[in-house]
Amino acid sequence: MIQLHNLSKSFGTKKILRDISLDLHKGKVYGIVGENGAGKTTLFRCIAGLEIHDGEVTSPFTLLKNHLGFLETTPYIFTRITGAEYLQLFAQARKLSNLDYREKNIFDLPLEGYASNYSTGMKKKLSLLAILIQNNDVYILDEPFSGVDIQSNIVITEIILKLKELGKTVIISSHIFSTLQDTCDEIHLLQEGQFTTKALPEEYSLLESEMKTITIGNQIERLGLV
Amino acid sequence: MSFYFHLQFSRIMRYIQHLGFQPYIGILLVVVGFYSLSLLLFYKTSLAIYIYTFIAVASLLQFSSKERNRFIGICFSKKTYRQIRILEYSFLTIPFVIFLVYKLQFLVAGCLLFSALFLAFIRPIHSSNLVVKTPFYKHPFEFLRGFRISFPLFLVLIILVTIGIYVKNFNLAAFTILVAVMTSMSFYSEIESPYFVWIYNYKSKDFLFYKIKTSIHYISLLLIPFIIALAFFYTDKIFLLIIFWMVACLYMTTTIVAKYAIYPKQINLPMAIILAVGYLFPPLLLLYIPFLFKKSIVQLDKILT
Repeated sequence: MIQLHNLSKSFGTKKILRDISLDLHKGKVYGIVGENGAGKTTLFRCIAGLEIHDGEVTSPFTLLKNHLGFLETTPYIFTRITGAEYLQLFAQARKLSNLDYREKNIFDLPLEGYASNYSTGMKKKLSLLAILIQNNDVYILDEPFSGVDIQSNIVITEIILKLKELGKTVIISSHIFSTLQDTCDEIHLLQEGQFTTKALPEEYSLLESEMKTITIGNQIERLGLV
Repeated sequence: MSFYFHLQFSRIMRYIQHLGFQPYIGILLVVVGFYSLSLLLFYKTSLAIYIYTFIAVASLLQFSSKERNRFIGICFSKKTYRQIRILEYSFLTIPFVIFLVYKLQFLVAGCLLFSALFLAFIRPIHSSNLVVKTPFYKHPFEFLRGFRISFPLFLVLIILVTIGIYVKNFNLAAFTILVAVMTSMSFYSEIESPYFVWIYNYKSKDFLFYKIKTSIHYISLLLIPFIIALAFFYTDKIFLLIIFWMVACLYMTTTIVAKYAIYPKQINLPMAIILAVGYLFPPLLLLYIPFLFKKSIVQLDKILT
């Protein structure tokens, strides 16, 4: 089990995360929702060890990061590197070799072409593929569905369910609530750096309406559309 | 357009401030540093004119990125875009031209100025989908992408070394090796996001050894054709060529440990000057490397452990 205990993070005087505590179990999928700037990405980066933070992240692994695949919201793709080479880079980083990238290319990406010329969705799929071939125990997927076509959304949903079946721990964030409903065992609402609501599957529709009220409120009326 | 240059000036000032200098003092240091290093270069080597011209042209290419030009093209009219390019290229070339005129190298200074104006009128090529095959595919990162970005330069270097051999000018041929090494060092100049260090399941020390080993392997692979060709035609210079190769390996190692010693920050001005002194007196690098290696371990530990 991975435990987040009183995780806090500030940038200067601005508090981004406030005493976040959460237990993450094997074979479970956790959804994190919240508006832009709520602290989702910062939370993910803290768990991954990419940000210095207060509080603790404990795991059964000597070093969690070596068992963790992190899909960034906007994956950075270097210029002049082909899709296959990008996958190779990630595999080598985990000392894996002799992988058949073509066989693992379930998204039918043009692996022989430069990855920087891919569309946004293709870059996302390539990055997801890169962390999947590493065979991690824990996955953090920051907005895995954004910018990706409908067919791939279905594939990604199935991948997440497969990871769950294999006993992996998955944490995802998404602005598309329905994708979380299909995959998550529990969803946490992050507001101003704190978890304010935890919802189990039977409470998802309630959470969705709560989010709608919080997010939209009377803002559309303020536009004065006629 | 004036706002564009005002913005660029502000960016430079902020950058200098970020390096830890009062902006105007920073500018003064850059000017003094630039001309001092220019003088030192011409004092140290007979190849200075080639190196100087290469550095000047390489600096101009900094402004040629497709994305940068597309952005300026979107923001401004065609006429203003052209004017910006001409002015930027001129601003960058003038310090080199002034020094070349001071050294009475009028022809080179004229050619450089002409090249700058010529380059200002060339629209950057759209990024090609043509994947250049390289021998660096086994470790697909700095060397692979660096070589693909600069491979036309390597074609020019092959032509230059051939000319050097044909006209029996060892200095020219040796210059091509120097350019190849300097270009290879530049492959490591980009500060990758910590994410691309974080992904490695390596201890900091092993990570550094892996990077150094790869760079030495690949610089050797890159230099072998040059060194073999020169050794064949200049048998009396074999020992010198081996020294060149060893210095190249030292340069690559220093570049890597210097980069990670302050990672993820960019190398600052004082450090750049210290490194430049080391590159000019390579034995000094033997002192730099262990020191920078230790500092790199400290920085990398923050990400890798």
